[in-house]
Amino acid sequence: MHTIGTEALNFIDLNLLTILFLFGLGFIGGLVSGFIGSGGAFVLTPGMMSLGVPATVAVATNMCHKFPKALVGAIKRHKYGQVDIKMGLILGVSAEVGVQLGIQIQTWILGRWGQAGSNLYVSLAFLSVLLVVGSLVMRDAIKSARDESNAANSGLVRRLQAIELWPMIHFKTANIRISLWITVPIGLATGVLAATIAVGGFIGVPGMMYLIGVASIMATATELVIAFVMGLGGTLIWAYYGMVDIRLVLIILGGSLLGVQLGAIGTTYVKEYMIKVVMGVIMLIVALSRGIALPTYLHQLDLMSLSDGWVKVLNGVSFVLMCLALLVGALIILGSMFKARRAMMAQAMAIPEPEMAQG
Amino acid sequence: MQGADTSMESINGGRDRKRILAVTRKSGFSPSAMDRTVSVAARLGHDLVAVYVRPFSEGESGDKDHRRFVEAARRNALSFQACCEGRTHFDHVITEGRIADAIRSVIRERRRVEFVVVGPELAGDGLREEISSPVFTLEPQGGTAPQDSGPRLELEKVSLAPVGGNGLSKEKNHRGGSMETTNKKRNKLGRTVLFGTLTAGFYAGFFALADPVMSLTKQGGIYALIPVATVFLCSYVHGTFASELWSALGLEASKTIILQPTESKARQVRRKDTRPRATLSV
Repeated sequence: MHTIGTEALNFIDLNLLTILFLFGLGFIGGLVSGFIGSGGAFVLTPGMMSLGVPATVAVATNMCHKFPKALVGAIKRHKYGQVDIKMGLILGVSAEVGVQLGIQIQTWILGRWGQAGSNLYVSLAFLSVLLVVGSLVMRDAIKSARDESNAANSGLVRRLQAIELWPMIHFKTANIRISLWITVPIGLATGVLAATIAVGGFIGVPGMMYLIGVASIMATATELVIAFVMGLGGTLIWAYYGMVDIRLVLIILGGSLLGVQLGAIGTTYVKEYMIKVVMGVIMLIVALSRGIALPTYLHQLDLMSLSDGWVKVLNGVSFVLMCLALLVGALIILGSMFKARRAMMAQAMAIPEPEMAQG
Repeated sequence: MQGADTSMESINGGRDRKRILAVTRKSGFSPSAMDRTVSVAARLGHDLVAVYVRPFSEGESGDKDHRRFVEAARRNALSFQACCEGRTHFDHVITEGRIADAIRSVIRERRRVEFVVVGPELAGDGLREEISSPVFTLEPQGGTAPQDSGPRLELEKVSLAPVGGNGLSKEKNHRGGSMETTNKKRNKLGRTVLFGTLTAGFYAGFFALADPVMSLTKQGGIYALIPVATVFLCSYVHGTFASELWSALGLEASKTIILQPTESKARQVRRKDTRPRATLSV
């Protein structure tokens, strides 16, 4: 069965430019992932494809680089007490089921409407999810920046936590008691989105924040556990078909393991709303990027007429905007991290030594 | 639970930060107790929640004593808040009932409570058996805590010193040491070099054998384990190197004090009073 995949393999030749491009992309993607728990994958797949990597190999390679990166990030953030492992594993398992569901949906669409239909579905999923959830996250980020309130205070969270539907689960680290039936749909949706647009965290993190009531810093850290579970499962499947280009994986990991640790360190410096800001900004820019690419898929489906020149331009602008989303996210992370660090140094130096107050 | 939260009054702070609960069954903390507790909270970067618990045994709910207790606690909370100004976030809870029940209720509601500090009057109440969070006793200044009162709250000598010229670290050192030792720095650098060399060796070894490895992984099946094992090894070697590298460059997780400005005007959220009351219809 696994020989089917080998026929499609066409691994690219590596040169210095390719290596530097993938290393840099890996670093920025890792930085964003370490900070918001996901991200980078949506640029890496088209990025690799732009280098001539076949789509299936690009997806498999992306998946294979994702789980060790998530593992390293999760371990790092666990050291800071930010990870609820139990929640991550429960959501991860349901996300794994969601991935299979997402693949079935994709396969059905591909069989019925072909590649253009599949692309249109992916773009519409990108647009609808990112616009709705991105706006929600951004609005919450602005609100949090103003009054430092938290989503955990929302009435919806309280109502959902109050539903006593067996089995009730207590997540010790997050200090939340909630029914399993609230967490499972979030995991499923995360998996379906991961199978569709490669970034399940765009549903998983907001789901944990606004439905379960997890603090944003813990939600993004726990998302890394989910990404690890999903990534490991997906990698085993892709590797079974011989689709993983391990050379590309290691080059990307070279950058992303550096980035993910820096992103994780960054979470200990910035205020929590910055996590929401970064996530919201990235989601909205990516939504814009996919919106720009939408006419090209409509053109392929003969629902709209475009010249080849316009198709090229729109696809190019869309890809550049996706890279820009990642870059803007990375710049906000680094900027806010170093700014917070400087402020802390200044404050720490200004604090007088305490008295020994015994007795 | 004897209704510890039935008459709870609170001023809400941020929900994400870690908290310290300072608990008393009196209607106020002494200025020195406030000062010491705020110092600890500020140095640890935690929020502070003062909990004033009036035991039921000291009078019926709603009576004159209760109102007097609430008013005194409110005045004390304002002083406490003033003490926290510019140092840490502060909020307070005024409640009644069993002390342990009240503390548990506040922990459940506020979350992320790191530890509980109790006044000396609660030292012998056996709270440590009933509360899951660590409980410390605040000793009166110039006095001694009751015997067998368990851990006492001490201000740790906290030193803040630059690391590598551009970083900060907080080192708990009861003997007053402040700077990271040269040995520690040397060890860090040694580990960075060691794992850097291992990473370089790993990458060099892999790319030297890339062609045969690729021809195996292309076959899939049982050879699927090769890429999985390779990335796990890479995660360990390169992941450790990356961690050590940032650390050697002075980029470590913040352990320093995060000073949050005290809310200029705390929001008062009064809970609806659902206690039964006797009414007289005429």
